[in-house]
Amino acid sequence: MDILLEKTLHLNNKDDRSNILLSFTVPHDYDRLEISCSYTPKYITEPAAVIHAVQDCYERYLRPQDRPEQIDPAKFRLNNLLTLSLDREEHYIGAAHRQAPVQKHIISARYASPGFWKCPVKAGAWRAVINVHALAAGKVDYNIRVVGKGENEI
Amino acid sequence: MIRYRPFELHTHTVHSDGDFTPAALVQAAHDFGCAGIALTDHNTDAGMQEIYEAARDSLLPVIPGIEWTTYYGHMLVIGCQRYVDWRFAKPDTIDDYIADVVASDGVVGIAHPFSMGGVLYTGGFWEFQVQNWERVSYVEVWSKGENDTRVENERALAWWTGLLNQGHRLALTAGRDWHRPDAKPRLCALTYLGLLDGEITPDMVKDALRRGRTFVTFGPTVAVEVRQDGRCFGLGDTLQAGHTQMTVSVDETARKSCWQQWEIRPEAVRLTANGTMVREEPYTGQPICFAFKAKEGWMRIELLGSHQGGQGNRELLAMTSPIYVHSCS
Repeated sequence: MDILLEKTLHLNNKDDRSNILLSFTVPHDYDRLEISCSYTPKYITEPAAVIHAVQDCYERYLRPQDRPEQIDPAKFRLNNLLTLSLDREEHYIGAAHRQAPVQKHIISARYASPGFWKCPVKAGAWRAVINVHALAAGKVDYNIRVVGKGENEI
Repeated sequence: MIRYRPFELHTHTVHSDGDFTPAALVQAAHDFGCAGIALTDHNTDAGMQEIYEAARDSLLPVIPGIEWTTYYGHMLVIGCQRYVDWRFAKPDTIDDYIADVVASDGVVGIAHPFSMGGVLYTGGFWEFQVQNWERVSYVEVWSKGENDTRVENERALAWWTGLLNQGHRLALTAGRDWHRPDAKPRLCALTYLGLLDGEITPDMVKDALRRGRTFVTFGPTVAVEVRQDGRCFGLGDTLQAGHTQMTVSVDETARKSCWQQWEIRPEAVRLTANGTMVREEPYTGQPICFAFKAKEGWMRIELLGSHQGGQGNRELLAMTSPIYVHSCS
């Protein structure tokens, strides 16, 4: 088992709607890649932050006549959304566009986690891309760990 | 011979944030009377692996697609022959990406252009600045279920109509944005595609979308035949300005078991041209004939009536993509 990439990213509002590119090298062929990623916080609960974010959305995306007069922060479950996409030698393997803030993925020739194409883990240039779809408020810490494993390694 | 067949063109599975497996989605679409679907998971077409592996057992043709779920809008890309990277598209560079998709034989449609954006529905609102509309084939004017997105769909209809008035050629579609089985029954529309007879292929579906052979409906189907100088035209075609005869037939039998619970009742057929109502005739169950002088621009047919759960006023039950009118002068 080899750790091929391990990073903790400290993101803030400036990273909203951006891609964070994390290139890594696979030094030789493996049976599979195991990718663990997580981020926190997932939800924004502080009432003032919720009201501010919702107000911003209403002003940008709703016509004045469609905007509710009052915003009850308890009725909104605002969340950050960061997804992972993956490339091998500049070929897109797929993305895991899901809400869960803790995810594990496997990439191999026999099996791939939902969202990714099956793909042999060949030596070469790989890239994990963190797609920051929504960073609603404040700061987000993002962790990613990519491990290469042989056939008999659990 | 062109035959209109019901399709669901906006679907998701466990390969993005849906709950359906690809097989369960196909079964649900089959049960809803679809003749085919496009699989459009967010930012991946990996679900097609399972479709290809089970190809011989599939109940329906599944057309490969991706919903580009970008930070500035969602774009449906159907049948692209190679992957085009969605991740770096910006509001002022989207034309380059669309050109790349089209060059790779893909079809581009704009999904739910007036969905909420920002943190409430990430990137759902169309903020891209398209300059070259010739490469965009359609707009998803009806999104999700009736009453789910009424205001958004009203805005989308007005926007699409405005684009047609500017001279752009754009088909319309309905997209259920189908992620999971419904917890309770929902009235949802479908897109009918005008396909050549024979086995349904991705090329046939793309051809129908590119040529504007589509209509959307909550239930009853509409058949539109236009005659001019002894020639026959259909949806998406272009005819000359001048004397025109149009026959509109409504069929209340197709897929009826899927929508009869909503008590859908057609009441009138409307001819709209260049954004303005030209004629409206009560629906009696018989074909309706319009004889008129077509003016340069476009025209479409709208079927109006009532359904259970409506808001009391006449509702749009079905609507066609345009027929275009060219001026000789």
